[in-house]
This record gives sequence, structure tokens and C-alpha cells, in this order.
Amino acid sequence: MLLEPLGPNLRSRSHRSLTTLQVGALAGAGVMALTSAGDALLLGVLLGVAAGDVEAGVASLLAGLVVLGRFGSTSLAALAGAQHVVGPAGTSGPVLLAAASWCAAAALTLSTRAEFAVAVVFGLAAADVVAGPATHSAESLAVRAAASLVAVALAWFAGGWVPARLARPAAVAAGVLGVVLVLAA
Amino acid sequence: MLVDLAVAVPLVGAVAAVLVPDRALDAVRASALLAAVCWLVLLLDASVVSVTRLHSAPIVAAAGFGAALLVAAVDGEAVERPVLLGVALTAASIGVAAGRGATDGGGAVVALAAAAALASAAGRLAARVWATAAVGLIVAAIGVVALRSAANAWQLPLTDAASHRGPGVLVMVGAALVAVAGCGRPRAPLTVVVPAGAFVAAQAAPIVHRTAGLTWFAVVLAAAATAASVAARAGRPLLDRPAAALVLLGLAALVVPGAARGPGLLLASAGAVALGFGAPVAAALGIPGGIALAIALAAQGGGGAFAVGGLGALVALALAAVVVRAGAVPRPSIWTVPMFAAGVWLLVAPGTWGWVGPAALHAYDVGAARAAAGGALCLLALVLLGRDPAGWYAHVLPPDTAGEDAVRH
Repeated sequence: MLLEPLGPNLRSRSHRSLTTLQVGALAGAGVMALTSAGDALLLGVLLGVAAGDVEAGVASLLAGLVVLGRFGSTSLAALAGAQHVVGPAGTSGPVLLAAASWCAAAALTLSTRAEFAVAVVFGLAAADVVAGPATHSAESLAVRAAASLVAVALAWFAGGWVPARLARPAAVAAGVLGVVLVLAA
Repeated sequence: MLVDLAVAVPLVGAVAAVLVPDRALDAVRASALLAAVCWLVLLLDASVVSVTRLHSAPIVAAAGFGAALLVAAVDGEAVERPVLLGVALTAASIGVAAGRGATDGGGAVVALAAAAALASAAGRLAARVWATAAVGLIVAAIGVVALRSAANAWQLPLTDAASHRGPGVLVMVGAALVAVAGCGRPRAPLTVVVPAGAFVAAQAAPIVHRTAGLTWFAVVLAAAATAASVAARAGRPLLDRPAAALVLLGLAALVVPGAARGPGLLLASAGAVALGFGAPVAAALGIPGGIALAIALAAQGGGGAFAVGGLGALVALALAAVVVRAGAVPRPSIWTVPMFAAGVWLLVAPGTWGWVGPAALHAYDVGAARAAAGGALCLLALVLLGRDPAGWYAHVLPPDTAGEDAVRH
């Protein structure tokens, strides 16, 4: 007789189907992140819906609040314009504000799920926040492409191999830390 | 002409309900929809129209539109006397349109009282619901009379709002209580007073806000919104939590320091529209107002804005938790379709709601349009391709062999 052990040896990257609403929200968030158009807080809401998790939504919204606190606007186009002028948010400006951007990116990266498509959208959003969505020159395009690739890879790793019970609180903590840093700056 | 029609049509519906008792509720609903069309035309026209002792301005038309849609969406099982519901809508319409060129505070409160009494008689109500509405009406009436005594005018808002903050607070508190009472049960007759109550509060808000806002009152209203978002007894909600929380948070935004009137009106509108659904997921209608409020509070800064923002975040968290725990959304009635359309309009293009004033939602509009288009195209493509929207590796990687775990252990 075969019995299921108390600690089942399930793979972390087990598949969970996305609902229709989640797929729609994911596609919408992907369009916004890729085109750098829209509102950072709306992007956070859509990412939360796509993840299907309140904690992921909170972390994504906190990342949007970091953008609002740092740039004074939630517009992704304004975020692109600002980073076009002063450089990527993660490497320019006061140290506290740059650290806040990294915290926001970490919050987004840790909020993702195991599915590759979800990780791609969360990674793109994280890259937008920390490395700038501007693509006005070959150099900035290279920076954005590299940042997006790294962020997507990290998000996919975090979604598949970091247990949700650790990743979600860490994401919220990173978001809260980002907001605190913005307020302190 | 349209103002008169918007006010009179529900009365015609009530008469038709008397003549055709078998289809009484349908007659009232149809007349409410016709009234909603009249109000919508006035809202889109966006001009100030005055006819005898009634008038229409954009915010008046919006409140009338909301009240009419709520009556059209009312649940048949909650209505015992459809005739009275039609008359209640007429009273609510008179309440929002009372006055020559500007809102008549006395007329608005009297008509609101009549609407509340008629709506209460139209359906079965718990004692706590009508008692809350009665207390609210009394407080609002005291505030309006005090304003009349101090400023010698029934007008709301006063053109000279220099030193009448106390009566203004009373009017807002009373109107808020009426609105909360109307949020007791979604798609019930008393919901008709919610847009009218929120309208009276919004008209009194400039008297309270002046130029710097009233921080303590905004914090109290935001705390009330937080309490409403978690209000339950023995696991059952005491009221329609999304609607009550959004309306109260909207009223808090109307008096918070800074320029948050637009976000406040969006939130109050979201609460009224949410009442027409009755499902927790309707809390999503507060997203545009919430985002606009966050932007306004961040621009203002300061302790008061931070406190209201924090309480607003708690409201959002509580409502999101309710949505996640909620079961499947029940199949809506065909009569809720117009309200559903208004909700989609609010969610996708709040920037076109020009009657609320500045709300800094241009980026939201652009993003929502692109997100809606992208989401729709993605779903359409998946349907056409006949694929399950899931991770590719779930289909590529073979499943574990049977008994693999048992072998390992």
C-alpha cells in the first residue's frame, strides 16, 4: 500500500492554471510595462490580480508608491522621461532614493508566481522601476534590455524556487522599506 | 424640459405600476431607466439648466443618474410596494435638483427625508437601518437650519463660506449617516438615497474645506470607512462593505487638506455604483478614485494627508481580502446591465468623468485603455488558438511517474 508522506515531495514549480481574469490582467500589465504607458499604481493593481494574491498586490502597490514618492507622479511615461534625463533610477540621485528604487524592484521580483509568463511581466515591471524604460538610443536600449533580462530571470527563479511563504512577506517588507526610504529622503 | 422629464418620469412609472399591478416593478424600473437617460443627457451636456424651482448642473445630473440606475437595478425580492419606490425616486430627484441655479439646502433635506421614508416603506428594513437614516436626517436638518440662521441663505454651498464650518460639518455628518443607512443592503429600495445623500454632503463640503481642509474630520471619516470595510457580526457583513467604505472614504477626501475633491467624488460614485452589483468584487470600482486620492495626498504631504492615506490603504487591503475570499459572482439580473456599463465606464475611462473636476488621471486613462485592449486581444488570441492559458512547461514537462514520491521516501 502506498501512502502520501506528511511532507510530500512536490516540485516548487508546480503548475497552477491562471483564470481568465488573471490572464487578461497579466496581458494588460505586460502591455503597460512594455510600452511604458499608463499608471504605476494601476500596473501594481493589475500585477496583484495576475498573481491572485493580496500580499503580491500590496507589494506591487508599494512599488508604485515608491515611484510616486520619488518622481512625484505615477505616470510611467513621466518615469521614462525622468530617467531619460537623469539616468536609471537605481544608479542616479541620492543614495536613499536609489535604494528605494531597488527595494521597489525587489518587491516586484519577489511577488511573482512560478509561471513563466507571469515572471516575464513582473520582471519587465521591475526593470522599468529600477533601470528606466527609455529607449531613445542604442545605449539606453541595451541598458533596458539587459535589465529586463536580468529581472525576468530573477523573477522566474524567485517564483519557482523561493517558497511563497517566504517570498510574499519579503516582497511586502521590501516595498515597505522602499516607501520608508522615500519618506526619509 | 429634460429636468422636468427626469423628475416626472418615475412618477408616471408609479402610476403605471398602480394600473398594472402584475408588472408593477417592471414599470417602475423602466421609468427609472428613462429618467436615467434624461439625467445622462443633462450630464453629457454639462451645462447649468434652471426651470422654476428645479435646476441641473453636472453634479446634480450625476446624482440623479446614479439614483435612477440604482432603482432600475433593485432586487425584486427586496421590494414589497413598487409604487412607493417610484415615488421615492421622484423625491430623490427633486432633492438633488432643488433650487434655482444652486442647490437649496432646505429643499434637498426635506426631499431626502421623503425619499428615505418612501423607500423604507417600499421594502422591509431592519430597525437599525431606518434609525440610522432618521438620525442622519435630523442632524442634517439641524445643520441646514443653523446655516440658514447664520448666513440667511438656504444655498449649498454658500458663496461666503468664511465662518460656517460647524453647520457644514453637521450637514456632512447627517448626509453621511443617510448614505451609510442606504448601504445597508445592496439592490434594496433604500439605496436610492445614497447618491442623494452623497450629493448633499458634497455640496456642503466646500463650507467645511474652505482652503486648508479640516484634518480631524477627514481622519474621522476615513476611520469610519475603515470600520465599514470590516463591519461584520458573527461572520456576516453588517452592510454592503465596499459601497459604505468607498462612500465614506470619498467624503473624507472631500475635506482632507489639498485638492482631493475630484478623487472624493470618484470614490463616492464608485460606492453608489457598487451598490447596484452587491458583490464584493465591486470594490474594484474604487481603483481610479483611490489612485487619484493617492496622487493628491502625495502632492499635499503632511500628517493629515498621511493619516488619511494610511486609513485609505487599510480600506483597500480589507476590501481586497474580502474579494479574494468571496465565492463566485452570482448571475446578475438583466436590469443591472446599465449599472454594469456605468461601472465599466468608471473603471476604464475615469478621466472622461469631467463633472468631478481635476483628478490627475490622464496616465490612468492611457494605461487602462491599453491594458483593456491588450487583455482583450490576448484572450481573443487564446480562444482562437484553442489553447489553455497556462505555462508552456506544464505541457512540455512530463508528469512525475506514479508512486515516485513513495519510492523516494
